[in-house]
Amino acid sequence: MITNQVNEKLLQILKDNMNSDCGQKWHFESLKTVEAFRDTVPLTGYDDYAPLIELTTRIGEKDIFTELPLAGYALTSGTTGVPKLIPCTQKHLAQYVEAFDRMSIKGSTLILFESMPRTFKYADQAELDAISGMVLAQGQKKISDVSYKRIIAKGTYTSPIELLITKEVMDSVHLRLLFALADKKLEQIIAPFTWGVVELFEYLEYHWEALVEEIATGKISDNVKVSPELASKIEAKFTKNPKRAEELKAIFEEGFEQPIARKIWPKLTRVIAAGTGSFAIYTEKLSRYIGDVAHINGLYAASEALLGVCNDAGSDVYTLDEENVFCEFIPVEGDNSDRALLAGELEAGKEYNVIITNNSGFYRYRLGDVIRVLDVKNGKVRFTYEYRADQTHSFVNEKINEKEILTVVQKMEDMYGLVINDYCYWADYENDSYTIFMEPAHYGNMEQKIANMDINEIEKYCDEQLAKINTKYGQLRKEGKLSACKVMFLQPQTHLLYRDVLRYRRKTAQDQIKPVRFLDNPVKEKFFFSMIDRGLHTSEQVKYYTDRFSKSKKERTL
Amino acid sequence: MTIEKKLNGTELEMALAGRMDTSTAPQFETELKNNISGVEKLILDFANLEYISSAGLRVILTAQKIMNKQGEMVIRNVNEVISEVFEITGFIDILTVE
Repeated sequence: MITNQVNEKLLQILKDNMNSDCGQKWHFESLKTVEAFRDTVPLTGYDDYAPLIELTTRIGEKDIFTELPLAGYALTSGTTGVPKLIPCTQKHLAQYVEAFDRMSIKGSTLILFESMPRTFKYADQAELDAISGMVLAQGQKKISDVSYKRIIAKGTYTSPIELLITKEVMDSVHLRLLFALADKKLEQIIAPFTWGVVELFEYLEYHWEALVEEIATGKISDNVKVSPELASKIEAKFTKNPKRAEELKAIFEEGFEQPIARKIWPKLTRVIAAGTGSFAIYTEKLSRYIGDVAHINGLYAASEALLGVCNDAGSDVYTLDEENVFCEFIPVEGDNSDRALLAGELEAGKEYNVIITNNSGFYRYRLGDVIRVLDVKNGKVRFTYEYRADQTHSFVNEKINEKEILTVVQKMEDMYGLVINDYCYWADYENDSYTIFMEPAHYGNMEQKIANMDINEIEKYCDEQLAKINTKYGQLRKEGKLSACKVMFLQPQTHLLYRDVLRYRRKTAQDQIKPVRFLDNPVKEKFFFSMIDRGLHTSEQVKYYTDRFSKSKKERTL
Repeated sequence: MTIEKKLNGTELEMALAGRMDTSTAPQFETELKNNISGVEKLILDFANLEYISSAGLRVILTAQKIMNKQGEMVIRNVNEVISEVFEITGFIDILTVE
């Protein structure tokens, strides 16, 4: 059964776009039922839209996939290859602006995202930005019933506008921290993902002396390289505060072993940042810094759709929001018939691939995320975000996913008293086995601890845990069809380095790059293999991986 | 890790020796930031640098970003091991290695 709301939403999308090329091709005008829509429009992926987006961005053609006016293109967070451009109409963007408005409070807020520099326009006059940046960059434009002016007027933001709507590519962590530290009354932090919040505190841990000095003197150091024009604008908005500097110095000199956030900002009540799925490991690390300050996941959103809301502190359960998107779901387990279900047809406890039809011209689009349904009550679906489908791997039919690997990592941390900051995994086709790459934390003398351990024992433990978590894997191991998994430790900051390099090359916002989980191409393999911590493994072990630089799965299948 | 600095007008040469890893990379970052003001050409001499970790590479990338704004950065005398790391990580396309 389909609810009226969902039905109406779909009909509205079809009506809005009936004269677009896609609308005419699939006869949107005549599609009056969900069933007719599903029978007519095939399931799609980004590759179906890429040539159409080329036509709009390069030639300026209009009304191809949507008739609605574009606000811009969102750069998606792919981890390799050519970044994807996701069209974003004003109507599509409105839901994100409204969501941001709901998060805004009267008190002081530190925002950890920005609008990217608008350096050029595509042939269709649309610009490139991250969705979060587009929300900020709407400027004075009124969209929906919420205007940027109203949002800005509603709250107080620690960062000056020059750091929120940027005119140049820059590392703004230092400057954002500087203004935020100076403001003792900070009440909330908003970031797209928990990764960004953890990085902020890690930066603070290493650079607090310079920041305190700048607050004491009111002079922003040359550490931060921005254009002279921007520097003078920012410095004009920054006033020295020796008393606050003294206060902060005393806090930082006590160290970072105890949660430090509320010592810095006594009024800090919440951190809003998505921290489920691929970001779950960072959410765990966040508590080291924020302690009992409430962490709220906020939104389950991608550039293509805002799908869920979670406003309860410490909860990872989202409520499906179908107000602005038409959703379908394909069971992960089943007959593989690709028969899509509607929200009312979902079963508690089962995992589903998410298919969306949105206000920006994507129809029956495979989002690539897998969710698990918790329950369906009064037409409302509650779910958790589990993993990205493209980060899943099978040698046979075991379907190992990023969440399962994370669970193994977490169990290993508990068992051996280690702190792992990041992880990824690789399928070794020569050995028919998985290798889990773990990146130890930079604190707590982790490398030394690991050096004193028997890594073979850790590997055995991880293999046993993986067999328990994924019973098909366990069965294949018993039958001798797969070899035991291996564990290799990476140098601290490897994942951050990978992100830094991608960001440097793409000139993109940091929240547009998702963490690497499965090493699925030679570029990732080479990079992560080369970052194995040689102090923790024998030269033979390292050689095993480095020898494979030229023997990736793809190359070997040629 | 030891760092020797030579400032010649707007040209700064920093000769690094030893290992640049998680524990020593912040030292290089501090030295760099304390001395880079007004520098138009930064030369990093790696003749005696034996090893560079991912933390070190992150600082090198920061240096490159700073110098992109105020001049140029050149890395000299890179040994085979570090050269291979630059190659594999894609740094070779980002940096100017002589």
